[in-house]
Amino acid sequence: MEKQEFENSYYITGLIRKKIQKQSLSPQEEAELDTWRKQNAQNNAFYEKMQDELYLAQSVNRYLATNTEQRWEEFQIQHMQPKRRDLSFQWISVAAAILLVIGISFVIYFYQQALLPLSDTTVQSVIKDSLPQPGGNRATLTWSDGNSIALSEGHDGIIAGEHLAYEDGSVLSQVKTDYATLVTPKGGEYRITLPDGTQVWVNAASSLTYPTRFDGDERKVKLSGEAYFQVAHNKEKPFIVETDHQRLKVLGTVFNVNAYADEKQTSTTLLEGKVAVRALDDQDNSIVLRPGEQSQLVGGKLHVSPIDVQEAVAWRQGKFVFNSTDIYTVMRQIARWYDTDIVYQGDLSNVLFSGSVSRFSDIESVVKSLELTREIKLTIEGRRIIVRKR
Amino acid sequence: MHNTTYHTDEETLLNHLASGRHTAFEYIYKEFQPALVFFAGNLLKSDDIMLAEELVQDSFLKLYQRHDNFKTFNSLKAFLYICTRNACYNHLEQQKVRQRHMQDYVYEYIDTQQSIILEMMHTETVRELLQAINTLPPQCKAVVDLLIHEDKSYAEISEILGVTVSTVKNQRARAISLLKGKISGVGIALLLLSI
Repeated sequence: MEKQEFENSYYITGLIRKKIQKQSLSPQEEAELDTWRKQNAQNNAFYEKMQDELYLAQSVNRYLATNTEQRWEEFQIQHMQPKRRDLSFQWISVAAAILLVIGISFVIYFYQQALLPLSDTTVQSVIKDSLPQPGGNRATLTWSDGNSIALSEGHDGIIAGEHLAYEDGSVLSQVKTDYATLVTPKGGEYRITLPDGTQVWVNAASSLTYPTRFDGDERKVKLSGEAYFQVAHNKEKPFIVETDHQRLKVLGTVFNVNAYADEKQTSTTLLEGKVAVRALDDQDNSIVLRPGEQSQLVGGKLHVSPIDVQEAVAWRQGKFVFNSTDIYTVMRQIARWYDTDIVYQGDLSNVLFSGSVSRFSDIESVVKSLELTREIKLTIEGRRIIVRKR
Repeated sequence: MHNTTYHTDEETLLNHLASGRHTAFEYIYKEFQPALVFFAGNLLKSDDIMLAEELVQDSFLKLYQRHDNFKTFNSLKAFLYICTRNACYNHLEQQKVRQRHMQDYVYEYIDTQQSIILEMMHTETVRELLQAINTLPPQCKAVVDLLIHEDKSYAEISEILGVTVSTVKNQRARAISLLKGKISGVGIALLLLSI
């Protein structure tokens, strides 16, 4: 079994599972699944079998036949003998003791008022909690009448159809008004399926305002911050995305818009289909993007260049990807996701990064990977990260 | 008990596993033991669950004794599946029982590795579907875990969790409604009704 073959089959398994769960696949995913099924008769037969609920139910029952708890007990007794554990655990305890001493001095230093009897676990949890944490599924939905609800962190998406519901079908609320806004805080992201079936992944510190029904002759939404759109095709009603400075028109396609107020430019990256982009106040000059191209709107002017699409939409795959990216741009992304403030000491404009880090790593490993360049030193102090030249 | 951080954060899981942390190993054991026993049973074409369980214990021993790190979660999974496949294959060889059934099996294996890949996909599909249980609210999940994994009765569960029997029943009903759609309809019904 080759590694490549393995990777691909994990991927296909994910698609098949989604099909069983009646989740929708993107056109690209559908095509990939289709290609796999057509590779040979065995693949196709397997796929068909997996859609048979009775067969699946039998599998689930057989899968659950083993007594995992009991086997785990046996495994520990047979192979994880106390003798053996003591030996390796001695080192761990020494290391833990050292860390604890460091930890306690850290806590005493920063929390002088906290000279209360602290148990070991509270000491450790204080240290852990005081570090900025990566973001998760967090968002609020606000209606135009001012009512709002906090969305569950246990779900990653909502469907704004006739009712507002989570993706598993549990209804959240009746639709109350003509407009609603999905707002993500720093350290939050959320997915929304609009009434026309368009899917939008909203990145941290962003907001998306949409009509609860797409009546008129266009489908218009307003975005601040960043979002990835998979627009449902509808020739009759073009889909419009307006940001502070830009207007974008599409028929049905996949693209990413980055329009954070603290970025110099509004970047639009096209993955599939066709979009027309123009500056909000310049009706005469619009540019049509082709897949693999990115437009940047700076000071009212649009520039187009071919780019590595994967880098622009890495956040959707749970990654930060940098390619000769300057430190300021890098740190703005980190600040939005880990909800931190950044302090720069000295001129760092020549420091560039290339590489990729998981968005779900803890902040310390992110800092460590940034320090690998040996050009800068980062210090985490509570909710602040201080960046200085080495 | 599944550790929720490990569930969503594979990188931390791998780091903890590499540094020999007990909780990380336990998490992987509990997540993959039923999967590998199911996989081995299918490869051996046998209902002898004890045999499959024994072979899988050896796969975990190999993991426990291994000192290299895994770079990705997928390579860890591949390691476990390959160990188990080899164990099944070795077992069949050692038996040297050249009955027709065995020859069929060996023939199939040599002819198409693909059927092994498909068996792995079959196992992973079920594993991924059952992960929906991890997304249930805590009390709901505790009830389902005790029902499914530990085969406890309503009365036993009510004692363990310190709640009334009717609460247990309510939580079970709630779990079923939450899981609908996540695991396919008939699948979950059969699964939960059979308990």
